[in-house]
Amino acid sequence: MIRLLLRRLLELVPTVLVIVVASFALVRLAPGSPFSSEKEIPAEIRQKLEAKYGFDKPLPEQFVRYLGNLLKGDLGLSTKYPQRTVNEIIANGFPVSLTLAAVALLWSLLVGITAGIIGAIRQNTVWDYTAMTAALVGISVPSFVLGPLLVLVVSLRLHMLPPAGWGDWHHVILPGLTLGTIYAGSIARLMRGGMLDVVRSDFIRTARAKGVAEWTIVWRHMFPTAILPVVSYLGPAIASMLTGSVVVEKIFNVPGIGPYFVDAAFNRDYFLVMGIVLLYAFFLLLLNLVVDVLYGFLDPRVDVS
Amino acid sequence: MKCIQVGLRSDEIDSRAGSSLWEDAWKRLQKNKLAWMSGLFLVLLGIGCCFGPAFLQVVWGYDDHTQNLAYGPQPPSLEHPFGTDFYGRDLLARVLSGARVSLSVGLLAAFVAALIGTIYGAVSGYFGGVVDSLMMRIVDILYALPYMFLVIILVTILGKSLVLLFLALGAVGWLLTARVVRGQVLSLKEQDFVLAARSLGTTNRGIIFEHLIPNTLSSVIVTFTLTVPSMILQEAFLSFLGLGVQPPQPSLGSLINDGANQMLVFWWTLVFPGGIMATMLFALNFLGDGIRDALDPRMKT
Repeated sequence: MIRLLLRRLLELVPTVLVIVVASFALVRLAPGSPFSSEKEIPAEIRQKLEAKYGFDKPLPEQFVRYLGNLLKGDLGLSTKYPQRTVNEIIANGFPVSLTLAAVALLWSLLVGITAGIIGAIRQNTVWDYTAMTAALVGISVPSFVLGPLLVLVVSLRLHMLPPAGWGDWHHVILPGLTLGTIYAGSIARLMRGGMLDVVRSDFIRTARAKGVAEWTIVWRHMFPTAILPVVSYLGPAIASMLTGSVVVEKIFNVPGIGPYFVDAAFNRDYFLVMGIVLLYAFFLLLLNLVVDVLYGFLDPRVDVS
Repeated sequence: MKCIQVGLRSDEIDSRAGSSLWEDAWKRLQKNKLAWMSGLFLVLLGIGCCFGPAFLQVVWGYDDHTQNLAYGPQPPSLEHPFGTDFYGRDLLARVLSGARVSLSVGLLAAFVAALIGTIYGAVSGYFGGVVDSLMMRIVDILYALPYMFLVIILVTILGKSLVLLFLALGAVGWLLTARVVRGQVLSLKEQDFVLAARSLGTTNRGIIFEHLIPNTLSSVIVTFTLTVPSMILQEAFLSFLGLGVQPPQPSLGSLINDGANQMLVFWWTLVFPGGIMATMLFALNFLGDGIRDALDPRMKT
């Protein structure tokens, strides 16, 4: 198991390298520079600024330097916020975004799996139709519609939860719900499909024939197989939750990493854009690895190696 | 000379088998009332989007850009069914015009994505071996990249024009189609009609474009119908962040953003664009589900 993990980790190295090269090229080949959006700066100051960030050197040399710093874990300086390093900005914002995504994930799994199981074991009844229509509604209401509506009703009319900000657990509920609901819908549909696929298999009939309690059949026998489509959906779902939090962070004024990224892309804040893209890409690669391993663990038929 | 071997020509067989598949699917779709109603709603919305703003201009003398600052934001009334926005512009006209942007960007971006994905997937699956593993490795890497961030970078690089917007969305959204088509081509290329085509001297290009791709069309359509709502969502997402369609041109995303900023006082500026957006996505998803069920042979029972 550990050897397998190590090998898969090693296999990530070329992928990460390709991503570093590609994102460096994409960001640097863009027209404009970090200093062109501001007011006209005197040539002298501009030269000094460029020298400070190393932009006066040829691109290949800059790339080698960036790669060297990257290996040391140094993501460089932000050009927009000259007093701060990219590492600092990420260290402040990423845990917030991650917390938000974690709450959203928990909510979507809880609601999605429950609705999916109810839909499947009460197939073609009112329960099923209600759950599946709710899932489709959940998929169809975008976060930037749901978020303001929740604020309007829950915070501004009912005064139950704060409309914005970040601090204690009160602040995380509404953004978490907003971000997670759309995925709850997808998970419910996948879960229902997974359950319906397994419900007619032989081992379930055997279990029934043996007189195993219905509850045990659902949880012990059907659940581990039926959850597989959901597990393979988790990788892309978490990826899009993390990036989707940009909008939710804006709505609820959450100090995550999203607002920085949009600003940075606009201002050609090279190192900050690169830093955030690389961090997310690396995180997602690791996550996909975990999902793969988990998949093999849940379904012994799949050969993980 | 090829047309002599009519009995062997795979596209001939395709078109016969294909038409019955499409007819079957059409019949199944007609039975699905909800999908049917969704389709009807979308057609009406489409007509409303295309002609609505012009119609309002003729009948009531204002369009989505006509400002009336003295008038200011008004709640819904008979004259303005959706009310007016901060600048006194009619919200119904603006919502229709915004939905037109959403629908056209969604359709075009999904089309670009389907085009790239189909060709990429077919080439990858057909050639197989090293080419296939290399091409699919690239797809895997792109999958790992934070998708929306990539679009944001592309949009800031390419500039904020409508054309570039759907190109950027399409350029990142083809991965799913590529995977689906590749999977199908992998099994299709082993079948006899491909062997027959090859023994008749058809080039690789001919086999891919005339024989393999037409046979994957039903799954391409299914992924296409499911891509459209997600593309619409992405466009609104970008416009909400101020990266998409630029004012004064309205888009559902920017209308919702405006509405969200003033929802406490002028609730209708949020509720109507948001409601239309959600209904539109709901109808698209329902229709997409219906089309998938209709085209999916496993549902035939």
